[in-house]
Amino acid sequence: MTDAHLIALFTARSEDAIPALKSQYGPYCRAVASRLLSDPRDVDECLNDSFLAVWRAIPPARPEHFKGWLAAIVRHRALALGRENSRRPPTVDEAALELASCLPPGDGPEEEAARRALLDAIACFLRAQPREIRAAFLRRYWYGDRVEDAARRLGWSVSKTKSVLSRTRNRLRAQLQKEGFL
Amino acid sequence: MKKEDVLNLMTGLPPDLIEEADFDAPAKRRLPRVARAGLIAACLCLALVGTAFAAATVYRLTVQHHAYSDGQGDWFGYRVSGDVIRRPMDAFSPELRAAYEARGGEAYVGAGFDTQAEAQAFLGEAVPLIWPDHSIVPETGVRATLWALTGSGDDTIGPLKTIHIRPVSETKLEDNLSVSTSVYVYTENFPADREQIYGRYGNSPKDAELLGTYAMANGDVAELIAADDPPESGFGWGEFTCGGHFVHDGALYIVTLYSYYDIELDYQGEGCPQAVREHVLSQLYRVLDSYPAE
Repeated sequence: MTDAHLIALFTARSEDAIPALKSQYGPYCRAVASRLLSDPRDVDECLNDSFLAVWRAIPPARPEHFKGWLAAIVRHRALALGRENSRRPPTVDEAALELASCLPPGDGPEEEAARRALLDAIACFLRAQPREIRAAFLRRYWYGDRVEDAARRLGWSVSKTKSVLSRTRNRLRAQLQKEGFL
Repeated sequence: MKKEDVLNLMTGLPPDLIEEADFDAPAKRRLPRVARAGLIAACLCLALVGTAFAAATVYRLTVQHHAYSDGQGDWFGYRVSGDVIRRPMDAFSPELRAAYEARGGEAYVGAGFDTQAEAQAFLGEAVPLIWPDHSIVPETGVRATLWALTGSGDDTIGPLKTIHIRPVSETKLEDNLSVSTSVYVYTENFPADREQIYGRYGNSPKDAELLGTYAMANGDVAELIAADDPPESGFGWGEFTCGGHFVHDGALYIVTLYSYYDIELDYQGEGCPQAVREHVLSQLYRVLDSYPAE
């Protein structure tokens, strides 16, 4: 089953859509949620909410990159649940604090346009990095991997991974300063 | 910036970057011996086929390792790609083209047939398919799905791109063993730069193994992939799935055998018993060998 086939099932309001989604991406979604939530019951709730959200979103949505789009839904819901229940693995907060050091201080942009501009700048910076560097950054700061897990996935040593993450954060900070965000 | 704001901000990063970051370093993981042997055999086979038949039409299948990890372990699958024939629309029957045009803007339209001959007539005599021997895989009804999408997720609903022909249900070969045979036919509208013709194989939480190639009786070469999904405890059934993929006359054929195996009382999590694996593989060879050359 391809992404296009999955989207077509949702578009056609097929009763096979959610079972097919679970079959194709259930483990991936569970992996995304499990890194952000420490209670398996919360993970189950998160996945149910996320699959329902996909059902409601398609149609009219036709995501170009379905897997990443789906992961963002799961992450959004997982963060909300973790916040509500105060049950979140410590590594999530650790990673957020690491990254916060190279982002603008304060509460973050309140206006959507300013938030979008900052996000675009980060995305632009990441696209300019080599693929493995970009992956290391996203594994740590988007997927919420522990440094050890990111290192294993990339086939790097833990010390190399820490070093790469640190240097990438510094470069991001410098880039954001250059663009006037800091 | 506060950590909650950081977390929320990051969620908005472009989905393509998120997808890209979901990869493992497969070269760092040592594949099972049989998979390593299979991979080497597949490479050698491709090289030999490419050399021997360079002047003729070569149907190439490649099977890429695809892996990722989650908190519960490593997951493995494969992605099959290759060269297929993109047939002109006028090669297909007027009935097929009319059915597609009448679909009302949907991404696909389906049609059902009682026999393979009816499905072949619907497809068009200029696009001949081959079917397994009915004495081995009894004939069932056939379903054809006409797809407007290539499967990449980045195209829009438009002209007909692929036709998927499959039985209406799996066919039982024997107790706890069934088979499904399907074919993908490609039209001229299937993008020329699109190599992937079949997505990730299986979704088993256990390793999917690349078993190498099998030279079929009709001269085609099938790429074999197996996936074992054993019971998590000492109770229940395991599922061993084994598939053969080959290209014949420009269409991709997929033969999948599904078997369920019981476990012994002293089961220690070893997965599908070797005897079951060998039997299922032998049955897969039997089905593959039953396809005619023409």
